[in-house]
Amino acid sequence: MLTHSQAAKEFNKDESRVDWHDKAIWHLRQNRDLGVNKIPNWQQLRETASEIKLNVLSHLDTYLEEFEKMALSNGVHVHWALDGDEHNKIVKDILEKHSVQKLVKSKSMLTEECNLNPYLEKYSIEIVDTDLGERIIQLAKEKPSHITAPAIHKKKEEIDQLFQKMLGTPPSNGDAQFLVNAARTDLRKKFLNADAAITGVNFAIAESGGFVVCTNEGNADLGVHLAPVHIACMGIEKIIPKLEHLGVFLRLLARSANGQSITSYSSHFFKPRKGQEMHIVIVDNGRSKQLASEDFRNSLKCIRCGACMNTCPIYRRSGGHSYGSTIPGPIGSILSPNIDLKKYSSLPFASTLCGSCTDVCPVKIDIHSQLYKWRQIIMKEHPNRVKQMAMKTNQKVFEHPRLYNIVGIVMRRAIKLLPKSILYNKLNIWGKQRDLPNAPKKSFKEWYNERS
Amino acid sequence: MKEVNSRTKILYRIKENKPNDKTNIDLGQFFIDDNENSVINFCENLVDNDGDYLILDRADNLQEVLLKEINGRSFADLTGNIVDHQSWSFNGLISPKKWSDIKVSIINGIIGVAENGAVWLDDDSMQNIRTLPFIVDHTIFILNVKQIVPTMHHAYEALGKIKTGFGAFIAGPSKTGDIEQNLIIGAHGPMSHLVIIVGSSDSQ
Repeated sequence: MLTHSQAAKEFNKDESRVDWHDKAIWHLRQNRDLGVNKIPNWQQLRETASEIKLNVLSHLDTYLEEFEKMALSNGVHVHWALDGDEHNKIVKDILEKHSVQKLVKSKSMLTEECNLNPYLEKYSIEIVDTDLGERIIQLAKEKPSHITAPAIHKKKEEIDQLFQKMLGTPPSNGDAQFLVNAARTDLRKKFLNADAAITGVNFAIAESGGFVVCTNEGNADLGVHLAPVHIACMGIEKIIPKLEHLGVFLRLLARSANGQSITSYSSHFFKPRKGQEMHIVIVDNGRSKQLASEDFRNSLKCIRCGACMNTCPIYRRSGGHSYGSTIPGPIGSILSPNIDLKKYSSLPFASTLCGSCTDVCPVKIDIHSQLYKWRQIIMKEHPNRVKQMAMKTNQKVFEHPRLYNIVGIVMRRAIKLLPKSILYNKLNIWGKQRDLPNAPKKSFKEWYNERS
Repeated sequence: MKEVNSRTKILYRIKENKPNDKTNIDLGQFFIDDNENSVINFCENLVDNDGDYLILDRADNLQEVLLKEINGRSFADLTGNIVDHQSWSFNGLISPKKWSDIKVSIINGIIGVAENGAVWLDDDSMQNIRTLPFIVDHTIFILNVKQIVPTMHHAYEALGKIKTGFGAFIAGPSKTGDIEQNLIIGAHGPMSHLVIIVGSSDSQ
């Protein structure tokens, strides 16, 4: 697997595309600011959301039990999965029981995390992603590059060509209205003929056993209310204690994502409709392990708004795919190392540690501090020999004043005289993307002594 | 059997690993907004969400207004405001797959939220036809001014212990920004969204 910086280098080969991507993502951040500024007590709201989530983590076992009990009494089936494989098998078994051949799915980062689509396709189940962005990347056989705008890396002309090839649409020169209509017509048929619908869960309420799904397109509802079977998949951390806490989170979620006051649809599911079967799959997949770590457990507060990636100067200029993880950006860079430290060891370094992610996070996760903490763990377990050697050499030089003086004299000459090919050799990691400064004629010490 | 095992394992791990925080959560500080400008705010925020509004002083001429909105299209009226024309009838025999033929839905809202223009519906107001407001081309919601509250906090307070099987805040038409962030209305469902507010704001 490529490291983040290697993948980012690829992305950066097309400079005009980088600029376009940067601008598109920044647009979301600007809208977020406009939406947030309309709420007078935004900071208290963030603080309260963070406190509720800490309360959730502190009582997660009892809240999950309460949620299960209430959901069961509402006539909902509840399943538990230790990992992605078990989650996939549970979903498959439900689908097989109902002889499901056609399945519609609304956006769920959890099912992405578990690789549900390729798993179900092995069993010849047709699975259609119904969120437009997800549908686009499904047709293009790609992965989402952003958690709320999965196809934000694709230009409209590319989507036009994709639809021509996959849906047989006539060329439209990237007319967004035309392309949305084409997808609408195609997906309406899928909704009407689906045997089952899968959704994610934004919030699950312990006291009532209900759960909330937020969309702007209405795709989750259209799928669920038409299909005879509804399966909702949630990570254990999606629980909140009470209904009244939704007031806090629904005010924060859409505003943080793109500045909207609320999504068009915030649907609250408590009981299946008459004749329908409803299932909830509760998934751990490494979350309870993350809970044990005092340094990193706050990452479980995340409500998946995407604000941290929209504000991140690295994300905007390297693209979501460069992270190679299900969830990209700053939050992905602190969640992913918990799943596979070796595979994702380059992600915590994909940051300037500027702290903007922490500032915009609606549940006040200390994202940039966690990035820094992951770096320390990774450097211990996977040290970088070249950097280590450089630091050791520096240490020797700074320990010996005479050596320091000599090295200073030599380096000031060397920088001036040596050809670039020698100065920017493989050992000079620092000089990889930077120019060395012009060397002054004298050292500070020499200059000071001459004055007095 | 495996299922029971995973449940026990997950709950055990959480018990072992969870922090111990005892912070008291108080939402009282968020009930500062009063109702003074709620109707105006509701309308402004609804328009921001690409919805429309109509304010009627009295409910007398509601049928006339609705028929004008329907404009000859097939409709389902769950409010009983249209008596002179045949509404779509759901007699259980009709397959949901036929519901794409309904173009306009008219449903009573239960709560309106000023800060975001959202309207709360539940199984009762939807008469258990949960698909309806999501599948039609044009949704009309009827709301009394007295049902408008300032914020989401007030809305959940008013809802109390929710007894419905399904409920939703609907704040605008179906929309998407997934193609280069061009805002397109009518991604899957409604292409337009109208809230008719009945009763003049003086009566608050």
